[in-house]
Amino acid sequence: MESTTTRIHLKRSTVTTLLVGFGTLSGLIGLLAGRYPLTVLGLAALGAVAVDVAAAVATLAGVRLELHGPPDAVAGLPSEWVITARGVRRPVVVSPAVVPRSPRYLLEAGGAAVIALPPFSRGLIHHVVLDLTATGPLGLYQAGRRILIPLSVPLAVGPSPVPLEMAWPRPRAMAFGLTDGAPVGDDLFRGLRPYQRGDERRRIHWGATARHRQLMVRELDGTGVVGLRVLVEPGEPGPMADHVTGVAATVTADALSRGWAVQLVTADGAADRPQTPSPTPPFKSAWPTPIWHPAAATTRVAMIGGLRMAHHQLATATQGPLVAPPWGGLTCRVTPRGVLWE
Amino acid sequence: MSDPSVTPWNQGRLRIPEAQASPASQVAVFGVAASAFVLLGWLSQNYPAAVAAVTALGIGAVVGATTSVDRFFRNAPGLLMGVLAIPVVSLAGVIVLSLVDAPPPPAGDQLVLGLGLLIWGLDWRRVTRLRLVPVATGVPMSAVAVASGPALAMTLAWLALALVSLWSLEIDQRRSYEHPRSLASSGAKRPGSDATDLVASLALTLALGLVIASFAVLPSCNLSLGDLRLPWRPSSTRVGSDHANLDLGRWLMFDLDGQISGLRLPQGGEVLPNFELDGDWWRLVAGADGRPQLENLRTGERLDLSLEGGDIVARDSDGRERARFPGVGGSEGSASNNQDLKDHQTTQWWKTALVAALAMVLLGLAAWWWTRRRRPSAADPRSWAEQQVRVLERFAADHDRPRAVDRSPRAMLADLASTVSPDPRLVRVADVLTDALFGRAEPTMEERLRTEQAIAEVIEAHPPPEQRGRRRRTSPPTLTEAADRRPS
Repeated sequence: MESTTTRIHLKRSTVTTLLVGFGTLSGLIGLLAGRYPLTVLGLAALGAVAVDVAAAVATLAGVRLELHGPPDAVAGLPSEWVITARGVRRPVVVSPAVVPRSPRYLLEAGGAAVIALPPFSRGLIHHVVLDLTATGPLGLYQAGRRILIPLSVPLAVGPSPVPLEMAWPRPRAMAFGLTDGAPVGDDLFRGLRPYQRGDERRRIHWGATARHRQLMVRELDGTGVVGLRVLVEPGEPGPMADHVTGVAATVTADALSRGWAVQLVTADGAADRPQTPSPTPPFKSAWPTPIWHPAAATTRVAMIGGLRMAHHQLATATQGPLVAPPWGGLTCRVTPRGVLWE
Repeated sequence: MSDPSVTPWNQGRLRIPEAQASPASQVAVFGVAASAFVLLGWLSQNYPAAVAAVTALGIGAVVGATTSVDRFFRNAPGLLMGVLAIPVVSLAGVIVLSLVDAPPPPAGDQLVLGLGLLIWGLDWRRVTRLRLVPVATGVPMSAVAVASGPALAMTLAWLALALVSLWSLEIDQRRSYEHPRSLASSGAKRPGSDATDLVASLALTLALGLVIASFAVLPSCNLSLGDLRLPWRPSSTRVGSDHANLDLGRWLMFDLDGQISGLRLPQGGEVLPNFELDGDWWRLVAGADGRPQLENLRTGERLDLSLEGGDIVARDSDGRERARFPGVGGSEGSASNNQDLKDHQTTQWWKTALVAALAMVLLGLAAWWWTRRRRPSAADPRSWAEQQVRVLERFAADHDRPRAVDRSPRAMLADLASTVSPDPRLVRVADVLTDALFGRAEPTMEERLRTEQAIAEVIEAHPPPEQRGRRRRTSPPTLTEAADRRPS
């Protein structure tokens, strides 16, 4: 998709205004009074402004930008992007069009460079808006244009996991075998170890005990699958909703690290790709990339195969009715009131 | 569950650092100011005062550049504080001296002026403040440019130094930006290390000034006010057979008092105001209507002068030719004269066009400034909140619950939530708007967006009663309604 850009706008500073006024008055007075040096002084001051404007505009005229972002981002944290500038003859300044102003990066030459964009809110990012500015040699005028760069693949901004102290319920198997080829019925032998207090007596391996002359027990890997369904009810969009989804991300990550099968159930707020808007003029109020959470119409039920998958699903989780098929394993409901086990 | 942590939008690293001037820039800017003072001293032949001013400013600049005293000028520039200090200190001195009944100290004015310059110099670190120095010192440089002597060379030298200082400050400004981590293998240029920009700008700027000024002072483009001293100007000039009314004023010479001092002949040479003609002495005088005449010094007879065929002809009251000052003569003279007249017309046209263009440029600049002048930005939290409150006031008025003068926005929203729209989000909207209007903490951008969304959805969900009525009236009846209305 092609990026869209505004025409080049100009912005003057207070010094420029004063210099133009001084040059105009000096030139006029010099012309009317027939004073050649004063005329030269005034006209040269105006000429300096004109040269500076021309240089600033010419700098921006041929610059083209490309932006490549990360596959996903975390809400509240800056993300690194690769920016490629072409046609840079004099230094240009690139800054994301957000409020408050984010860092301004000085691109002195063409080529690829890494810049950090300010934190996004949770959701899907379809485009990034950058302000490209340049000044003349004297810095009297600032030329700028705003470029809207659509992303070929929307960037999912997921929640940041929230550290959580939680009492996990006793796991119970809901099925056997993670895959079709997994053994069914018996546990898998993993190894032997010395007996420890509390080990089940039926785990004692008598043969090994006789050989080692101490009590030895069998270690077995269970093939029973513990399933966890995480129902996410973030509530109204806002900081609390981001916090709730962050808690859900933590629960999901912990469950995955335990080897459990996790099913994430969310009300999906991912809308279709919005129509690419026209960029507003530069030097105007810049707004953060709006991330709207429309009312959810569908329930998204997915078995989570990894953290990135959970990250993407939680990026668009919003409040709405959750409709999901029956589930035989553990179920927890993450809400603004906390993690509720069912 | 723990409370959510609010991620600050404007983290410390996101703030744009204010650019600090490098020592080279500070020296260059000081050179601009010092040269202006020295030139003023040369103009007024008061070198001690110029040296004192440079010294005062230099002491202030050294202190300001080597210490962190500039933090006191974060909100007000040192230039303004220095200018304000002069009348304040003068007034205080006058009051104190009148109380103790003491005479004013010698060189008291210079001391006060030096104090102002010293205060100005203390703010000598920020780029934005130092940018003002070349412009501020340009005003006294105008006086230098008006003076005679090597004014042009000094003016151009000062202007070149001012441009160099602006260029150096711009490089300092660029240094304050963040530099991305380059993925290119080749080393990146230092910002602004290439002086080509400066050289090209200086050359272009000075060339523009010199060329345009040279063009402007050409006789055909000269706007000089000297011609305005002419006591007589014909209302119109005509070229053709009737040469009687041709403009003779352009051939006349005037002294400083505006009196006719001589007659410049078209082919060259001059006629003195008193000259001998056919044994009588005549002199050039201005007639009753301002037209030049020849007056006989002995008899007082006056002859009218007119330009005919390239010659200046003196005729008496009967129209007889009494004298002829040969010009270039013949058709060639007429052609030359016509060319002069055309040139004069061209001059008039150029003047009018140039003045009109300048006036249009000035008007355009004024209009541009008027349209682009600083207005409360939509990003300003207070103006944003006021705008939202106005929207809600219209909404309340549409529902016959206009906001009373003594009712706060929070009370208005509570009333709306209890009557018109029982939406719990209105409570949060009231909190955000109240904080934005009266609180110290600004609402985050996310809060703004959510507030606007909540307001928009509430307004859309609760249209005004008359709209509902209109919609009901215009919408077609359902089948059931149509059946009920059908007469049985």
